Amino acid sequence: MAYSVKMDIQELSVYYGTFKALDSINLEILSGAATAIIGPTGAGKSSLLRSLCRMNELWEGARTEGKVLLDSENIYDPSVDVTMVRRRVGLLARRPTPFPKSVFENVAYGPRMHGVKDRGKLTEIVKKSLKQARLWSEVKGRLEKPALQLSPGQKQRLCIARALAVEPEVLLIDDPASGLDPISTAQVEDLILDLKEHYTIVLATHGMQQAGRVSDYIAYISEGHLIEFGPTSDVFSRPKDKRTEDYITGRFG
Amino acid sequence: MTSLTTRTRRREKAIFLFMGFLTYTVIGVLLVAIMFLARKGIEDWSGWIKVDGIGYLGSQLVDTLLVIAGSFIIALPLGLATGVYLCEYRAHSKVADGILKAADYMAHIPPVIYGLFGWGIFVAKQQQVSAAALLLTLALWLLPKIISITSQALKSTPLAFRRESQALGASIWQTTFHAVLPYASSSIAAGALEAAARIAGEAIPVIMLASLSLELAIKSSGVLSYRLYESIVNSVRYSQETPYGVALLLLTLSLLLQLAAILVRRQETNTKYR
Repeated sequence: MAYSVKMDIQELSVYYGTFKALDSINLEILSGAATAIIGPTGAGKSSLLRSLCRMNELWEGARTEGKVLLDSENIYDPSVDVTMVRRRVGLLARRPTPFPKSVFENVAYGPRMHGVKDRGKLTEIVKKSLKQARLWSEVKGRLEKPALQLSPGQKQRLCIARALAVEPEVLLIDDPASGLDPISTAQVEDLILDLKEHYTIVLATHGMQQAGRVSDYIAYISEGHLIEFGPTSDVFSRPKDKRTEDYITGRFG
Repeated sequence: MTSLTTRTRRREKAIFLFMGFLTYTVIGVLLVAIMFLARKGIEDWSGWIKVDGIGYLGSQLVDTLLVIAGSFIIALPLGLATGVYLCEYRAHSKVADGILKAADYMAHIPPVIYGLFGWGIFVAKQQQVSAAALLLTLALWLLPKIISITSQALKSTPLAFRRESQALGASIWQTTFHAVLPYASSSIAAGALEAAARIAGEAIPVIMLASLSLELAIKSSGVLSYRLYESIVNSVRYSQETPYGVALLLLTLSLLLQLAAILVRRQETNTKYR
């Protein structure tokens, strides 16, 4: 296998109060690949993404068991600084919310929090991140304008730029198509294909075609259980599990 | 064929006409009251400059402002720190929730109770009213208000800002200062200005402290609200002239503070979401 293991998920369970959202998940996220997490609504896709950067801790009543190794270091170890985890593993929420600040300040937010004060350096990072997120040409003349004036597709890409500015190693993307029109969705998908060259990507989606277009690996989860994991082409052409086949064909046919 | 004008519609019209009449009557009465106060207050111009045995009106205005500033200097940092700690750092804690509910409740306790607190805690032992006792009493009254204002402002800031900020690797502290407070601060400022207007006009804790004390030491440096109370009592008891000047000054001060609160809130909606 050409890929090395970037994140190793071992016996991961997530509870919300007494509700078990994820049940003993074992999964390897491979370095430099795009892994799509597919499954019906409520399967636990978002919970899985959030538990990879310890964001689930911010949900009331959430509890996590098991290990998640990032380059063989357990991110749930009590000695780990959670802000360092989130710097290395970025999360794009399902409905990304720009801060009510300027376009520039939105992208500069992460680097500022991590101690970059020099205006020149910040400008450089902002420009680079916006270019990577394919938003630069649309906003370069209005960096000081409020980010909330952008269109929904631009906001999505702004939030991608904001996440990239922190220079994460892994990028978790939760349902990037939700609430976007087909053109904006296609733009974001193209962008993800681009980003795959530089980042390890984990993508939660219920769009089967999106998963097929973008991902190298697919993990199918249902009701908190991992049903199947494998290379995208294999899972699509000859799924091992009957439930995966039903889900995939149900969506296609 | 049914007619296009119906009885229901006509009845509705009559009801709204009547309600409109009531509304304008109430507004009219209020306007007359304010105009009466303003005319009398300006006639009472002498009070603004004359020494009347108790003190200049101007100096009472200064005293009032000093009392507001003093009680805010004590209560504002404490209230802000408490509110931020309980809402942001102890976000899902039941204890924090309980304390915030208690603060909300205490913010609505009648000021007369705080007057008694102040008397019991700060005055009773020394048998003497000091400026410090007055400031501490008002600060005590203000504290739950500030906590309550802060927590309400923080709770109305979208959860998404906190999540996005922390997902970018910011700590809770950084998130509070850079993603939450900038959007809560104008609500907090407006709420604080409204609280200041209350403090300026509230006579009861001052009266409690002053009248309960053996030697009415507070008299010589009375704040406006107390001065007004006292002169009304005197005018009834000794048929002295009622000082409309004080009332007008107090009304103006209170209106200015509330106007400032409105402006702060308006600026908030202009800059935040545009």
